[in-house]
Amino acid sequence: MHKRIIAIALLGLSIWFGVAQALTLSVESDGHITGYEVVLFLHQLLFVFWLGPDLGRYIWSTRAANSALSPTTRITAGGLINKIELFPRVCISLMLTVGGILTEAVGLTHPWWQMAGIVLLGPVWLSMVLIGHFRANTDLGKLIKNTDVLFRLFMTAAILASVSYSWSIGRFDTTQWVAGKLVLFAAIVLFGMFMRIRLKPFDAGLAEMASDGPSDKIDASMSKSLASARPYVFGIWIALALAAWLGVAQPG
Amino acid sequence: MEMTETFIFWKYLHILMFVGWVGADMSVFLSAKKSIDASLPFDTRITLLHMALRIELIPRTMWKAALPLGVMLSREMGLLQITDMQLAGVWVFSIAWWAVSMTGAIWYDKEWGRKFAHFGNLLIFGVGVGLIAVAIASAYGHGPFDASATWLLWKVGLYGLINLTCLAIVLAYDPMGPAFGRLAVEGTSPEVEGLITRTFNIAILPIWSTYFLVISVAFIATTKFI
Repeated sequence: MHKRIIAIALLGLSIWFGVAQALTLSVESDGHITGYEVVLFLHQLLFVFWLGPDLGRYIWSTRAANSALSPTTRITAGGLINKIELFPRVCISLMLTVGGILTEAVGLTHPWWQMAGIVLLGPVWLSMVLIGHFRANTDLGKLIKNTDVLFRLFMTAAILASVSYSWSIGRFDTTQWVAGKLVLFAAIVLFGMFMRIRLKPFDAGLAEMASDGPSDKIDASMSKSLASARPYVFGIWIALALAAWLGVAQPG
Repeated sequence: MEMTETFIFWKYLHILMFVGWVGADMSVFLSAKKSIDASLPFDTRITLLHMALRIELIPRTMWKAALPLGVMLSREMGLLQITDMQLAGVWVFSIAWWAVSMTGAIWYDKEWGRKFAHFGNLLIFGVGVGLIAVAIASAYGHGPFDASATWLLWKVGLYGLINLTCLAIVLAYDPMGPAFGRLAVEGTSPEVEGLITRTFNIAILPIWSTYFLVISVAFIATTKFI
């Protein structure tokens, strides 16, 4: 528990450190590390450990749905998916906080109360993810799981409302790409929600297979569930790749 | 420096390469780790190991792609003096290196596949040592890279070292195939399980060293603090 608190505190310190730093682009060694660079690096790491493991998670989900494999192999694949998908979940929870701080460096300043909200969002969302994963069978874990749809709808609405308002008052006039990234993030949160809803029969199938053994009905249900979730999986990957492109190219 | 469209393009690919390398390798590591679980039946364990090797084709590709992508980016930044012919040579070599590596990895269970893998290991060693030598020579003003871009020289040298740690993973993991062969024929026993666990544990050191080095290289590229 203490280690987790220290880790969250260190994360908070490092991202706060980036708030006041300026954007630099240099080809020569500058001999020092700015807070902006640290936060930018964290931003890149979140992208790496989000999309990269998600590829493996998807590949394993096709194995878990493969009726030619033994039930034990498929259930083990399900367990592996659960472990691997913790990476994307952790990354999505921290992305808005790290990205929000980065926007300060490109001239999008926030009032203190907004910045406090941006910085607090990461640790709060991360805590929800960790409790939902490691304490899934507790009352709190179940509550977090059951309110996931509501939370994602709230986040999507909040991001879109914030982007719309900021756009209307001209805050994005010189950083339209940031608005694009935020809209894509909102889409990813929404796609993730639909994906999870579509994958409910897949998860139920694995649980049923573990207790009652395999059946044609379970196989059909899992395959159908996976196929219906696939567009959202690919949608998340495309949106992530587009958001990364906007971050690198910074058009507008 | 000015961000040209081509610079942005190569930088973007460079970041995607990072995603497919370290990010995708998390699934490889977890799958391989699960395959040493002695409580699982053999068919499950062999599927886990096989899938780890299949998913590993993604990071394997990205690791090779890092060479030409890094060269393109360095050239765009004006930090590498290289002619068009030399550049074409880098691309041809990289594609051939990747093809040899993939052939060895995909057909790891065939005798000729193992020959490709062995040849691939020699190439990895050559690239690793060669790039470390290029980085040192460039630091003294005798190499193709700009000596004042010390952060880039560190990247090149460390990428060379990463090739050597990757080679160490391949060599450390090599007994896993025969160990699983024994598991298939003899069934589980403390001796065979000990061999499997020992092989995995020995490979852990170069695996984590590689992750650490790749992330360090990315950190150096972002901060340019060296």
